[in-house]
Amino acid sequence: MARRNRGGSKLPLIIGIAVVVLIAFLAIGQYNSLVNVEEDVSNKWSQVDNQIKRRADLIPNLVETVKGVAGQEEKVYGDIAEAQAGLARAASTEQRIEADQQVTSSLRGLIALQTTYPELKSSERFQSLMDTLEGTENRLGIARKDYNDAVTVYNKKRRSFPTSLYASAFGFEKKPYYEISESDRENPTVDFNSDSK
Amino acid sequence: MIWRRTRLLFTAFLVFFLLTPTAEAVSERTGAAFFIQDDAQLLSASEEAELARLGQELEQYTTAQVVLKTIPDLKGQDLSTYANETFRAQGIGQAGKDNGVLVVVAPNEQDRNFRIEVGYKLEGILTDITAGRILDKYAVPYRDQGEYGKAASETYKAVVSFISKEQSLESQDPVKQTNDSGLSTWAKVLIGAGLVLLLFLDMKFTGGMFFFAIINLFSAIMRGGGGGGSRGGGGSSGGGGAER
Repeated sequence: MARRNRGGSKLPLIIGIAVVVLIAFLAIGQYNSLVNVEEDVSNKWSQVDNQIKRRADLIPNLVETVKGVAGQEEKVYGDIAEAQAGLARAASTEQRIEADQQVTSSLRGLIALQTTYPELKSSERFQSLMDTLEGTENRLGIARKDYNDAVTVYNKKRRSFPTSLYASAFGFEKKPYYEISESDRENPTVDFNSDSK
Repeated sequence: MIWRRTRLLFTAFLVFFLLTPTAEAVSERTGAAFFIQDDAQLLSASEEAELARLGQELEQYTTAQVVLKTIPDLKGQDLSTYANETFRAQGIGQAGKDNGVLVVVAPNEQDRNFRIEVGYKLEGILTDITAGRILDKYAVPYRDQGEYGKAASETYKAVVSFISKEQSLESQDPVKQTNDSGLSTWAKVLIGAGLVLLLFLDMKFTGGMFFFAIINLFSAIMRGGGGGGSRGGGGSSGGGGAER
């Protein structure tokens, strides 16, 4: 009786092991793909953050240059300093996104000054700085778009079945989007040639 | 019986590996029609040929690619967005080297209609400031007189000559042919024969247990790992450059 039972129990055991192995393989695959996508998100975020830092480094120079011509515009410089300080304090991704938006809107005031002070436009130093600032804004815009695309892929993957089962078990958290408000959508661009055309 | 099965699998393998490379090498990312894309008809045929020759020479010596794109209508799209999307879609520059430059001219746009878009790895040489100065010097004066063709070709020439000067230090000799695997043909043949022997022994003694286990493992990993890599190759840009 016992012998017959032992002989019969072999097949279910093999099937059981096979199922466990199959699930393990599936889990490994899912886990790896989540890691892959998450890595992509953090890679794209570091590109956004690089541009945020690059812009922050550029601002003191720009402010110095503008101050030489328009020293009395205290409010503009105060706003910028405040926004920069906020950025320095921000640690998490969400906080940095918010602080960076503050910087963007505070810069608007500075850029607008060149209509009040036309001598800024003719300064080669100012123009070089503006080229760099504009290039950085543009890179930031593209890095932001790439980051949001990566977040979309990640969040979708994280929420879809059956990955969602593994995602929470392995502690894959939802990632924030870098959304920009309607007023910030318009890049603060400068047209040096508006009067020469 | 076993031998026939092995042979069948082997043929399937060969077919699979032989077919994959040809599928990738279809799109054409070089040549005169790639370098000069004069959709807005700003240049004459001889001008186009001259510029294309410069572009091809530059690629030959430095592998960098400079593409000129003129476009009659941006259809409401932002010039910088259009430039970046075009750059990425066409994969200008070499894959991994990201050494491409795209000059976009949109003569019918109101305020900003010239842009130089720079690939990632060229940003260090062709900075935003340099790109801005090139446009100030070679594009703006002609554009202000309405000579868009002249502005486009002078800008293109200026970018090509700038890169050729800066890159000459990096690669003195024209493009080296890289032999990526250091194995000699004999070593490859030996490894191949060893694999065939292993496969044969596996099929004969264990009925292909290891073989199928490896196949299963691979398919599980591949299913998980797929999904990335949308571009088929070529360089990319992160939005460096300048516009006027």
